[in-house]
Amino acid sequence: MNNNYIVIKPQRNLFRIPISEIIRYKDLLYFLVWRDLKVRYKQTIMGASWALFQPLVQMVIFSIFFGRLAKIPSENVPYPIFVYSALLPWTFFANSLNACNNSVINNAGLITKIYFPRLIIPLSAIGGGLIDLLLSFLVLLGIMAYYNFSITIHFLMIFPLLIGTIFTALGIGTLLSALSVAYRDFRHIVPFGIQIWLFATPVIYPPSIVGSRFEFMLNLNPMAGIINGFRSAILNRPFSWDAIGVSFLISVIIFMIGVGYFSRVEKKFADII
Amino acid sequence: MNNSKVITITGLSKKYRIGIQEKHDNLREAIASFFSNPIKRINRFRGASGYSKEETIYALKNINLDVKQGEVLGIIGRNGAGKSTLLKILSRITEPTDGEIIIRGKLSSLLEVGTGFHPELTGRENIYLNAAILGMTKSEIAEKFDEIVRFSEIEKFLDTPVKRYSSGMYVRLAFSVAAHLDPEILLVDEVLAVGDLAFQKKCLGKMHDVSSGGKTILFVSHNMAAIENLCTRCIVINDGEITFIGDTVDAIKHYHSQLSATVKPKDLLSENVSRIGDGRIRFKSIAMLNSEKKPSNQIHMGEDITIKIGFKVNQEIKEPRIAIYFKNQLGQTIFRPFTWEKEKDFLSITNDCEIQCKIPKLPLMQGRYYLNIWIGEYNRPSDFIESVLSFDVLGKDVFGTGRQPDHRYGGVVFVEHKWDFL
Repeated sequence: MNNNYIVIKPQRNLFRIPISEIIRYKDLLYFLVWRDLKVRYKQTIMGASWALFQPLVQMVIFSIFFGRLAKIPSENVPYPIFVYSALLPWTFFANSLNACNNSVINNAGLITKIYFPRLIIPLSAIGGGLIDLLLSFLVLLGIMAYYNFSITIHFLMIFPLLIGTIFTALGIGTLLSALSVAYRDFRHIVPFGIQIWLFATPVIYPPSIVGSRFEFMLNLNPMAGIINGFRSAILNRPFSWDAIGVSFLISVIIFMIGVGYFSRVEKKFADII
Repeated sequence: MNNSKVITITGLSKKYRIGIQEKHDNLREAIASFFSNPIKRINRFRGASGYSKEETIYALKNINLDVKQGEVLGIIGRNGAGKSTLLKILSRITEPTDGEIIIRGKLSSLLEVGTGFHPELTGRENIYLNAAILGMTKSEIAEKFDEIVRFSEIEKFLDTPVKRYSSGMYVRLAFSVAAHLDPEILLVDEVLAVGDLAFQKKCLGKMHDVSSGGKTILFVSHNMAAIENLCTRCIVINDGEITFIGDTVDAIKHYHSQLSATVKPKDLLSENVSRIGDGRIRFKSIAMLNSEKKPSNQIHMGEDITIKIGFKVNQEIKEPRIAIYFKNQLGQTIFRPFTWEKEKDFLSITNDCEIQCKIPKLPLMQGRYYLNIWIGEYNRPSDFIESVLSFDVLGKDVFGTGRQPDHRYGGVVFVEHKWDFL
C-alpha cells in the first residue's frame, strides 16, 4: 500500500522534471505518438510517404532558386545535397515546434479530465516528428549514393547532434505550448517565427557567408551550430567544435527555461485552458 | 485494515479567479490589453497578487473529510456546488489553493466516458488508446482486451472508426474500458447519465461488484436512485462547503430541503436559479394553487390542484413541449404531466404568457414532494429547473371511511379501488 501514497497540496517548487513519473507513463507516451501518426495518415492514399515530401520539395525549390539562380556558395558540394543535409534536421525541428505549440491546446480534452505528467504531451508531439525524420534519412541515403557520398565515422556525430536538436525543440516547444494555453496569439506567431528562424540558420547558405565578424552572433542561435554539425557529419567535413559547443550550451539553457516554465504552470492548465 | 482511511482531506480550499476566461482572439486586442494592464497579464499564471479580492471566488472552502476503505461515498449537491472541483483535485487535474490530501492506494478517475477517444480511430484502436490514458499499461490492456470487447457488446464494429458509431455504442465501448480498470480507489462523476437504461443497469451492477470487492468509490451523481442504491455514506456540498455527512437517505433529504430553501418560487428570473437549457424561453414564475385557487405549499391528499407557470420569451419556439416532474424525497419521479403526450395541438409560444396545468384529485400520499420543470423543442431543453418548488401533502380521509390512509404502511400514491366478496 505504501507504494501508492500520494500527497496533494499546493506546489511551490520552481523546477521539477518528473522523470520517474514519465517513465511510469511511458506506455501513454507511446500511444499518444502512435495516435498522432495513425490519425495524420488516415484517409490518405500516400500515407506516411507524405513525411518525405516536405524536405524533398523544399530541396528542389531551394536548389533552383538559391543554388542555380542566386548562386549561393555551397562549399564545393552539390547544392541539392548541401541543402538537404541541413533541411533534414531543420524540418524535424520546425515541425516539432509547430506540433508542440498546439499540442497542449489540442489535448485540452485530456488535460481537463485525467491526470498524467503533462510533459508527456510536448514529448509526444516531438516523438511523431522523430519517426518522420527516420523515414527522411532513408531518402538521404539514396541522395548520398547518387552524389557518391559514403557513410563515414563522422556519421556517428548525428546522435549527439540529434539530442541537441531535441533539447532545443523541447525547450522552445514546452515554452510555446505553455504560453499558448494562456495566450492564443502564439498560434499565429509561431509559423512565421519559424520562417524567420530558417533564414537565421545556415540551412540554405554556409555559415562562412556571414563573415567572421557576425559568425559569433550566428552561433548564438543554437540551431546554427547544430545544423551545420549535421551537414559536417553527413558530408564528411570538419566539425567546427566551437560553434557546436556554444549551440549545445545554449540549447541546454533553453531546455531548462522551457521545461522549468512548463512545470511551473502546468498545474494551472486545467483551470485556464 | 477494513477500517483504515484511504483518503484524508484536511482544510482543502480551491479559489478561482473570475475574469480568467477572457481571451483575445487577435493580436491587436491582446497587445492593447497587455499595455493597459500589464501586471494583471503577467500575474495570470502566478499568485493572486494581480487580482483584487472581488475577483476571486471559492469553489471549495475548508473541506475536511475522511474516506474509509471499502466504502461507497456519494457526493451530492446542486450544479456548481463544487462536487466536480473536489473530484478534479482528488484526481490531480487541478491543484488546490490550500489544504492537503493524503491518498493511500491506486486511484483512477472517471470524470467522463471515453476521455481521449479519437473519432478517426477504430474501436479496437480506441480501446488501446483510452485504456492507456486511464493509466493501464500495454500488457494490462492486452490481457483484458477480450473481456472489454465482450462487455461492450460491439464485437462486430471493432474495426469501424468510432465516428460511425451510434452514441449508444460509443458509450458502451467507452464504459467497458473504464469498467475494467483495477484501481483501489475509483472516482466517478456523473458518467452514468448517458447511455441506454439496460446498459446503465449493467454498469451500476459492475460498480456494485467493484465496491463489494473492498474497493473504495467516490460517486458524484444527480441520480438519487443510483446514489441510494450504491452509496453507504453521503456528503452534501453547497456553495463549496460540506453541509452534511452521514447516512444516504438523510443526506438526500437534506439535499432536497436545501434546494427548496434556496429557490424561492416567486420570480425565477431574478433569483440565483441553477438551470440548464438554451434560454430561448425561460420560466418566469411558478405557483402551486390549492383547491381554493390560492398559492400554497400545504396540499391535502386528493385535493384538486393547479400549477401556474409563467414564461419569458426570448425567441419563439414552435411546438414547445412542457413537462412537470413530481418527485419524492428520494428523487424518484412519481408522475410527470407532459404536454406532448397529453395535448395533441399545443400552440407556439411567441409572447410572454402564463399556462396552467390542472390536476384533479392529487393521488399522492403524505410526505414532501418536489417539482422539476422542463420546456424545450423536441428533446432539446430551453429551460430546465430542478426542485423549483416543494410542497407537503397532508393526510386526509380520502375514501370517506373516517380513516386516513397512512404512508407508514407503505406506498407513495393512492388509487380509487373497491373491495368485494364473490
